[in-house]
Amino acid sequence: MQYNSPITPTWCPGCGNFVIHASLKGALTELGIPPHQVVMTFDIGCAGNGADKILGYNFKVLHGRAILPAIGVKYINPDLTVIALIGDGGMYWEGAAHWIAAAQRNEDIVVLVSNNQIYALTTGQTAPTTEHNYATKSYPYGTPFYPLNPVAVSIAAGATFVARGWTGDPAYLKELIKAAIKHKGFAIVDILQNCVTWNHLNTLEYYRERVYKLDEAGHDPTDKQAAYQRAEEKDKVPIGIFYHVQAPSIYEEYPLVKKKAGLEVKGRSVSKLLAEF
Amino acid sequence: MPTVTIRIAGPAGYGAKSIGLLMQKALRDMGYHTFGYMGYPSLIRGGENFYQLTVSTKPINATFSKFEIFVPLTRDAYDTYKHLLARRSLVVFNAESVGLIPSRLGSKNIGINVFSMLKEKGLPTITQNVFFIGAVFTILGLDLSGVEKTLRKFFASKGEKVVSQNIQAFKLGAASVKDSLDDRFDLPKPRSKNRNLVISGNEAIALGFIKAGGTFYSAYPMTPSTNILHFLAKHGPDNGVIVRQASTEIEAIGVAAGASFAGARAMVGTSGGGLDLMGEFISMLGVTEVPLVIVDAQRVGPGTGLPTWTEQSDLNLAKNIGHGEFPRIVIAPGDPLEAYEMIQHALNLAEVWQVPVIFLSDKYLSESFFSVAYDKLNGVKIRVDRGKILRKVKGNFLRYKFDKLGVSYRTLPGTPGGLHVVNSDDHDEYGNSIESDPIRPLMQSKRLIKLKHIARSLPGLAIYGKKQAKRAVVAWGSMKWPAIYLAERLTEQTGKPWAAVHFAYMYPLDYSRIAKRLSRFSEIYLIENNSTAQLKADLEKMGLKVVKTFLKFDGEPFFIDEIKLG
Ligand SMILES: Cc1ncc(C[n+]2csc(CCOP(=O)(O)OP(=O)(O)O)c2C)c(N)n1
Ligand code: SF4
Ligand SMILES: [Mg+2]
Repeated sequence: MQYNSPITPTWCPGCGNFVIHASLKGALTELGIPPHQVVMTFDIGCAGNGADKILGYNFKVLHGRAILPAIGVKYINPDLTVIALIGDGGMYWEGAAHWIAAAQRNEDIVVLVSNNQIYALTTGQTAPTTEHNYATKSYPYGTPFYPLNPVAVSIAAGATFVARGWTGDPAYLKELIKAAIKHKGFAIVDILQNCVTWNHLNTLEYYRERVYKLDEAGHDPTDKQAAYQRAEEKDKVPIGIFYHVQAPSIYEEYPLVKKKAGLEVKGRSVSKLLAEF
Repeated sequence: MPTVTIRIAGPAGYGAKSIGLLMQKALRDMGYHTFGYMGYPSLIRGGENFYQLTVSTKPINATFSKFEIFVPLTRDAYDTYKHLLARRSLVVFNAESVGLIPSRLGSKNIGINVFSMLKEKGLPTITQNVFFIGAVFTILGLDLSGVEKTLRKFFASKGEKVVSQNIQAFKLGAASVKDSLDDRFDLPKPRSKNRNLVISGNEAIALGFIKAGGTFYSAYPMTPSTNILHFLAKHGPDNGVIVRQASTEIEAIGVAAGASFAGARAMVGTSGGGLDLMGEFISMLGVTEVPLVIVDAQRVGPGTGLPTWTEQSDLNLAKNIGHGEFPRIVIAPGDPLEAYEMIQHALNLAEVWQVPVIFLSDKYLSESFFSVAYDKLNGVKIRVDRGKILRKVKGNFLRYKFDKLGVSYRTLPGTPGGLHVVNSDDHDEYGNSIESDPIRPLMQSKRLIKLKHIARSLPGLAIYGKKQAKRAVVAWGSMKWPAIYLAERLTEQTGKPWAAVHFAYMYPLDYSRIAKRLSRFSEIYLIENNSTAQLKADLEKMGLKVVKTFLKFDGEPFFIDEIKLG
């Protein structure tokens, strides 16, 4: 497969990140996008450790900052497919300000969040998505607060494509990623990713008993109120597209972006401007 | 040198800056050389803003600690700054808002009932500003024939009504003092027929960015760098610059890093606190070798410090910011002409060496308006050099291929065959992450070797003054002209020639080359606009003896007359 890297993955056997990469490669291949037309940015964490395990123009950034270069790339070369891969800790805590601003501004990137509800690479501390009372290394007597709701917050912030995937259903995840890539505007897929080493609560079995598919349940993804209600569900866990609308692309404000002016680096005349001084 | 210095002051919102700048442009149009310096508190309303203008028939690139002509727009403005009146001075004011001003020895007061006069002619009170320009110019006995043209141009965008009101107010102001000619001030007829630009450091940086083909600018507003954002936001669309206001400084630099990686010529701008926030990304630029120019318009720190006042206190920060060890370049221009030229050079250096370049301005340089000869600025010719970009790939591509000079080819995303990982983890030649590995020391050395070559290739320092001078005043960045003027005064006073030595290329320094150039100076004075003399350690490492250090850190720059010579 054209996306396969010669580097052997360093994830634990059974880690959900294998599934995410397989689904992503499948999605890109089915959409007919060659690796040199793809920019993938990676965070720091187990999710981020995929940076050299899939081929593309890849950029491994800093913890919490993966989506920032992704945004920048798109301003310069909007023809490229730009995808950020990041963990729940990086996205929803360390980089939360960037998440909110990017969703608000409808930046035209795809964000795939490996949401394992734990800080995995740093060996098992509480994450923004860790369940209440779950004991971690940083809260050994139980996490004393409730998890953040990434789907609801993304919708509230202004994201125009908000979905939830699950590593227990790779084929479905692949379709969600394809839809996210095809979407013009900010697309986030919060992926329930099983971490076999540090999260013994939110396992594949745990979710197998709880998940159901939004499209099979007749959910209308253009209905924002319905999307919020689904996002707030506690006992059952919906997967699929919660919210999907077309909003004006940020580039309509930037004709220069459409023209790929960012790549036109050449000396200019300032004579006209000098008349102002 | 015959000069006159004028200060206009008033609460924020009264337009002291805009009258000052307009007055400066009118004087420039008459053929004078001018320098405009302003101060303002970090408030939208209230507090006393001032614009101080020094006018001369010869080039002038700094101002004085006192002023001869004072236009206080309110009583508070008068009370705040009256202690800075020169011995021989003139106060022109609106008697209806300022009230009576006590007479002082050597000072002449001209109070005018401005509001009544404007009202009588049906002119809005805001035109008082231009009224004062008419009054001051008449008292100085200047030729007013060209001023109408200047006013027309200045107000053109506000519509014909505003233009004609201001012209009327100007004439009214002139007529109101026609019998008050004051010949105590030495301002001969201007001789310069050359076209001069009135331009600030920030404008010069923005212009240079456009000139050098910059295509992406992002910033979070922070005084005194914000005018770069304003200028580029306004002129970007017509000049091919994509401008993006960021939600934080971290976002600004992170997005710019992506833009640069994708093939843009990118720059970010901020002030010290924002630079701090960018530190982690600057370190990442170091390991990933993604080019970027970072402008830091310094202001008074630590903390929020004095947010609208000047200081040169981020030199050590710029030289050291970011964890780990990596090459970077630090440049601190001395005036807008240098800012215009050096920002273009900085953009080339960033791409040629694939390193972060930190460009240090400060409030004083960024927001002071200098006269710059049009021909000089327009004559700056720097070819755009993007360094090693591979547009077509044959065979295996290695992004971080080992290289004698430390610089490898990069490919832009979208180029077939050029795949790689730009990697914040340390990495092999392709860009794949490594752990502790024999490659690590090689890769680290590959990056660091650049420093040696950069130091050799940078222009070094500039020396102003007589070749035989054995004494020098040393300065860096925006203290260039205060140092030159100090050297001139020392020469006059001591009868021995003094030179001024100016550092603009701050890091890396080629110690042996610089030490050789400076070896003729047996006596060195150092002036810096900070409290710890951040350049001194470098000078001492080069074996130079600094006999006197003048430091200023009250938020204002060194003035021409300030340093008292014993
Ligand atoms: C600025 C900074 N702070 C902290 C870290 C340490 N760190 C690395 S990964 C990580 C958290 C990982 O959690 P998450 O983002 O959920 O990714 P996961 O490993 O679970 O995939 C942390 C705190 C870092 N690399 N950089
Ligand atoms: S620790 Fe968890 S997230 Fe990390 S590789 Fe192992 S299973 Fe995957
Ligand atoms: Mg995690």
